[in-house]
Amino acid sequence: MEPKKKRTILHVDMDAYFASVEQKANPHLRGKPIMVCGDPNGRSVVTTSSYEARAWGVKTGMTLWEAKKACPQGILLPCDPDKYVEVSLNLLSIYKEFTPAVEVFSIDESFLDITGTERLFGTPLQLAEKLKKRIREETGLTCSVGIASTKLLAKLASDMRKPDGLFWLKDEKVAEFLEDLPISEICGIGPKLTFYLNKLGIRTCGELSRYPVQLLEERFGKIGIYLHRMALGLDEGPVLLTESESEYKGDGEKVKSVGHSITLPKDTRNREVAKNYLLSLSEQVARRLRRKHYKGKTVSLVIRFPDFSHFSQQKTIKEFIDDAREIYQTALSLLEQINIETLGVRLVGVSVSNLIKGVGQLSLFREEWREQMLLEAMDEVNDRYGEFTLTWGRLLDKVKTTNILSPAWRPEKHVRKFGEEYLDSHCEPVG
Amino acid sequence: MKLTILKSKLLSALQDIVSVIPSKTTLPILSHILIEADDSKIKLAATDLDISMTTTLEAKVTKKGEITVPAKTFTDIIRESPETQIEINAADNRMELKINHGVYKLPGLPVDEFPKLPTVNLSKEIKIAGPDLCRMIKKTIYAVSTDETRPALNGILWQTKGENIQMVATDGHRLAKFSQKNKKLKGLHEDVIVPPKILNVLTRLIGDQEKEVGLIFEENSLIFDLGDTILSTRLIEGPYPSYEQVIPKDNDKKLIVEKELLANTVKRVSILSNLLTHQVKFALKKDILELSTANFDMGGEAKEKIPCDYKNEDLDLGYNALYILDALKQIDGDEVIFELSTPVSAGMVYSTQKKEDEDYVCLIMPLRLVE
Repeated sequence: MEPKKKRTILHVDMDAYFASVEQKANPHLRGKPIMVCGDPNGRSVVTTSSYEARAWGVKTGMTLWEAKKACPQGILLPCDPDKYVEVSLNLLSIYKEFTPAVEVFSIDESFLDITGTERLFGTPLQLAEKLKKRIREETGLTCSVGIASTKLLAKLASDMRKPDGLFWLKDEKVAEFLEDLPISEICGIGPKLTFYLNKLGIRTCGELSRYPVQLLEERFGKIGIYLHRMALGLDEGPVLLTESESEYKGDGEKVKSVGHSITLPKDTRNREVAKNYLLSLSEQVARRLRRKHYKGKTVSLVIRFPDFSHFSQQKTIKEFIDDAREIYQTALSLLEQINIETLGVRLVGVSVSNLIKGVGQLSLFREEWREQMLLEAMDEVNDRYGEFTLTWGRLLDKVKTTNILSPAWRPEKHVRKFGEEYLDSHCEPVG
Repeated sequence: MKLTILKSKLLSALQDIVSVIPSKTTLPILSHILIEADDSKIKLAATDLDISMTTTLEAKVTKKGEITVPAKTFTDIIRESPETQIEINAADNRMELKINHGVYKLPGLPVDEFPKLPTVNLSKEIKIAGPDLCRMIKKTIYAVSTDETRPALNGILWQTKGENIQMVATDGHRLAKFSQKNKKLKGLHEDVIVPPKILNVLTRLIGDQEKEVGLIFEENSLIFDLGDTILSTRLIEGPYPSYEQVIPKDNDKKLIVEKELLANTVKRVSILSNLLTHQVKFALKKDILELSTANFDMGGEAKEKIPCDYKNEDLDLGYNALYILDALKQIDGDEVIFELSTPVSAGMVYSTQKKEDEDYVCLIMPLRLVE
């Protein structure tokens, strides 16, 4: 499972995001303690507060009453999601100037896999400086950046020098860094797990790493092994390509692309296996296109290899399509270029971009009408009885033998919780 | 190999032949042209493996031989040369050009790497008038599909129907069908699908010349004999979809409209159409055709009314403006007829002035109108 190649991951965490965006938008709010909440007149809590308010002891999650008590002159502002989403999309496009491998972790946090960008942007530190500068110039916001070899460590590193910080956690310093770090600091170890671990006498990552892994496994099952690895700073989680931008813009807005990717349960060198996944992904993409009444003419294929390097190429065809077979055929022509047998495959992703909505050029040929009707009928059955009730023959085998497509999975839901759900969710949307 | 040839003569042959050279290729030899010198003639050849072209021209050959040279570089040198006799020497895969006081040397690739060119079996040749052939090609080629997922549609269908020769092209959204009566192609028994690339070269070579073209149908290829120049192309494997079924027979509504007026209005209105769909709405009322469009991305709108002859019930249709313009460009005469039925069925477009020995019709499928 351990990646062979050393990775360099950046975690970018925007400083007091909602509050900073509000301050940027309205100069009168700059330098003042502001608190963004759901509804200033209702019973909501503080979602973000500016650093000026934090100085008064305002914390995220405080009720408005508590916050007002801590900071009477604090300015309450209602949440304005459109504004934050707009800036987030802007940030995403900045990240993509540096690397295509961007995972949007939340509205104000992203992971960037910058492995192999040295020749373009210099050392990770130099890249991070450039990135911070770009963000400041473009949006006027500051962020804190953590650099490390895993997502887990990068996220911890970005917390070290907040605000407007930059911290590179080098491999040789990891053990020392984790030794006294409270376990609750680790992304994925919530209050409940902390409570149970505390009961075992484990308070720091150092203690957790020395705790016998067998006992952890007995107590927590499979998660026990993960806990042990996390305490050592090990995390093979790849930077997952961003889900399609539609997820941020919400329905009704202009969508740029629709895509899905899947990390295979285990790496494969078998072309047929890869083709099966490709077809099943094409089907999901096609279905989502149809559900949203989109057609696209650019098909992109992303392949991640076991060494975490990746292949990504796109092909633009003449027609606008929303049919799984056409998406599959086009993606397949890109897949042909890859020597799966020697390189192996870890992740497969397909997306369709260059979209148009609604307007359909009708086809002269009856077979295509029939095909369209067939697809519509298939969608209807699958909507009622669940995904893959009706599917292509090629997929039958796979759907039976491996449960890679969890029935609970929804493109809208980006599962990030630690635990069983996370382990089971192999399917992630890509952008 | 040693010869001399006049610059302008060589250049005009080269300019024709480079159109066959593929712009991107993984096989370096395909970006080369083959030059064979024999007695008083030289033969130039190029191929992209799908199509090939050879052309023969006179030259003063003092030593026979053959060579391949990079087509683009060679053509560039000849183009920039002054009008003079060019002396060409070649040996050991190297070419030396003497142009007045200049000397140019070019590397070549081994001649035996050059793909084998098709042999011309003159006994099977049938003749057709060049202008007729060009006319049929021009009126259908615009509708050829470029969608690689449906290879059969990537060419023009040629067929003999009784005493008629017929060409058909479609991309699944529109279709063009042209028949010429009493112009049977004797050697052509089966349907063949001819890729457009060679036909573009062919029509350019024929131009306005009133000459005959020889056709040789081989099993998987078609050869065009233009005398000094031979073109050949791979044929596309069928079957071609059964297009006859999609030609409507009971379209009961008829619109007659002045062709230039319609074309100019569609062109103007469509400036503000969606850049991807080019959707223009045709709203038909009694003797009035209203063309309108809207581009929601930029917030533009256009609407124009033009007189027409229409007596049926009101009808709203959406069309891709480009499809309308492509068809109108090829239809002869001053007026066109649209035979229509519903907003989701194919419209038939043709000229009010039909020629006796010809039958030309265009089908255009509408866009589904979304309000």
